[in-house]
Amino acid sequence: MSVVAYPDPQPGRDAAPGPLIRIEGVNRTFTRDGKTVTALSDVSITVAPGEFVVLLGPSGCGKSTLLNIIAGLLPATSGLVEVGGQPVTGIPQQIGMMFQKATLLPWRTIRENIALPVQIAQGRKAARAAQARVDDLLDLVGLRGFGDQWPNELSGGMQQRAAICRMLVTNPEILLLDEPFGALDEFTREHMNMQMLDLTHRLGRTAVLVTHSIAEAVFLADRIVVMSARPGRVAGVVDVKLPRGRTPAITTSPEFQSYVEQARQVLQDGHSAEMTG
Amino acid sequence: MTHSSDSFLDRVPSPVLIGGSLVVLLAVWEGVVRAGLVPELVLPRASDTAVALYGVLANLFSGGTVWTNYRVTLQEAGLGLLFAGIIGFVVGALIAETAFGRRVIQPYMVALYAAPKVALAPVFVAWFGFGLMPKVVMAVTIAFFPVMVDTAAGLSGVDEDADKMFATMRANRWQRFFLLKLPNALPFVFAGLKSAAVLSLIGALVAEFSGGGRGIGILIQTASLRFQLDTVFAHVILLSATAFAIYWAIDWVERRIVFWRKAGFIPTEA
Repeated sequence: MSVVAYPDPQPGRDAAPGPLIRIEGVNRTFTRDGKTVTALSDVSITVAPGEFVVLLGPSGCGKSTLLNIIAGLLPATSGLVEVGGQPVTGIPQQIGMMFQKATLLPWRTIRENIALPVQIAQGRKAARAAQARVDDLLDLVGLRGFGDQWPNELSGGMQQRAAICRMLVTNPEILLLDEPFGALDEFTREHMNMQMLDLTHRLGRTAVLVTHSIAEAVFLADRIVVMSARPGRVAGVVDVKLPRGRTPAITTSPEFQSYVEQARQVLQDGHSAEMTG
Repeated sequence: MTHSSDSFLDRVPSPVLIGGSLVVLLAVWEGVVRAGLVPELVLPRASDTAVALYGVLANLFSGGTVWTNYRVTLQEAGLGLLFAGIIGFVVGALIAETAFGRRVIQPYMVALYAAPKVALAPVFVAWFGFGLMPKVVMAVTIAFFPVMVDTAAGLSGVDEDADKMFATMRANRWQRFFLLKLPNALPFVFAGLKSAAVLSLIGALVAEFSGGGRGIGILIQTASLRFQLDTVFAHVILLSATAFAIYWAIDWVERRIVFWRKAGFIPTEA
């Protein structure tokens, strides 16, 4: 496979010791109709290079808000946000992002969609020059031969795989994944999760994924940051010490089940704290 | 087995249905007038109108008076559509993209939209005389609204996630406009242009009514003063066909430019 030929991410990333993402005492409030709502309260997490961290929690716990803050799409109201040792002001160069919707542009072929970030960063010429790389990525996600199709000719799962290629084309060090497969059916989703996990590990990328599915979180994560709502905060952290190279078969193992139980317990404690607090 | 909700009409092919209903309609029209239920001065016979239409078309294609006047109206409406398209697009883009457009231009446009613009036709004649100018200005005044409104709506109606995605790609304002918003707005712009095509012709006609000079509007006015309603009808039919042809031409162009709007075949993953 062409994975071997896959170029290294930003040189010198090994030179920077310490966490790749550092969030310390971050608060975020929104004001709507004169009422102030606290979306995030005193959130602190760090993500090490190569780590797969999952933000798990019910809707309203601020997990997507936190992801948007890391992505530089949303400023924190207060607190420290660092990516690669630099304070986040605007969109950090090291990130690639994916959403629940593939958001492929219907007027561009799959190939042109994947090359879009290159075109935006370096112009049309560079995008044309990146075609070999686009082919490699298509191979990588099993979309070989689909490059010249239009997005609406592909299924939802295939569209999300194209979105993965688009995210990877600029070689981002950090993958920010906002429920990327949330709109897919259970089977496709399981398959895509496995593929995403495999890709992230093989390419040595760092990932932060948002989900509200406990099983999905345990399956993917090296570490689960469990969040609870009102106000959004970190309720606890679960280290998942399952071996890498996970397949769906692992989900029936007792270890897997015990991690699911742990995460559920932290979620519940966070929830009852919310009720009494 | 046919679906129970399939009525008889759903199973008849469209051309047959339209042709058939037209024949019935014309027959009723002819019958009502022949039977004397409506005076011929009020409603000419269908057959007389057909004869008048033939006369108008023969004159048109032989380059007679109808042609010289038709050409003028077509020119007015064409220029009207062109400028309505340009002005509508630019103002719509300003409203959607700039604070100045949204805060300063938009309120004026809303006020102008509410105004009965047809009533301005005599004003334009007073300002610009009896030539081409007042007609084109009238056509533009009426026709640019849908282009403006649809352009603004199309540019603003970008999917939130797509917008976020462009942000994460660190796209600048112009890249966002040309690579995302503009293509996204194209179907809206074309919808606006199609409305504008019809409105532009109406604007030209209204200005001709109050401004004299040449044009099909003048021919309609003259025929109407002579109680030649069959000729009036013939001209109206000619103009309707013209508007339809322009509409269809824009639609043809749209289907080639906005190719992705056609319903796509979506296979399910095995």
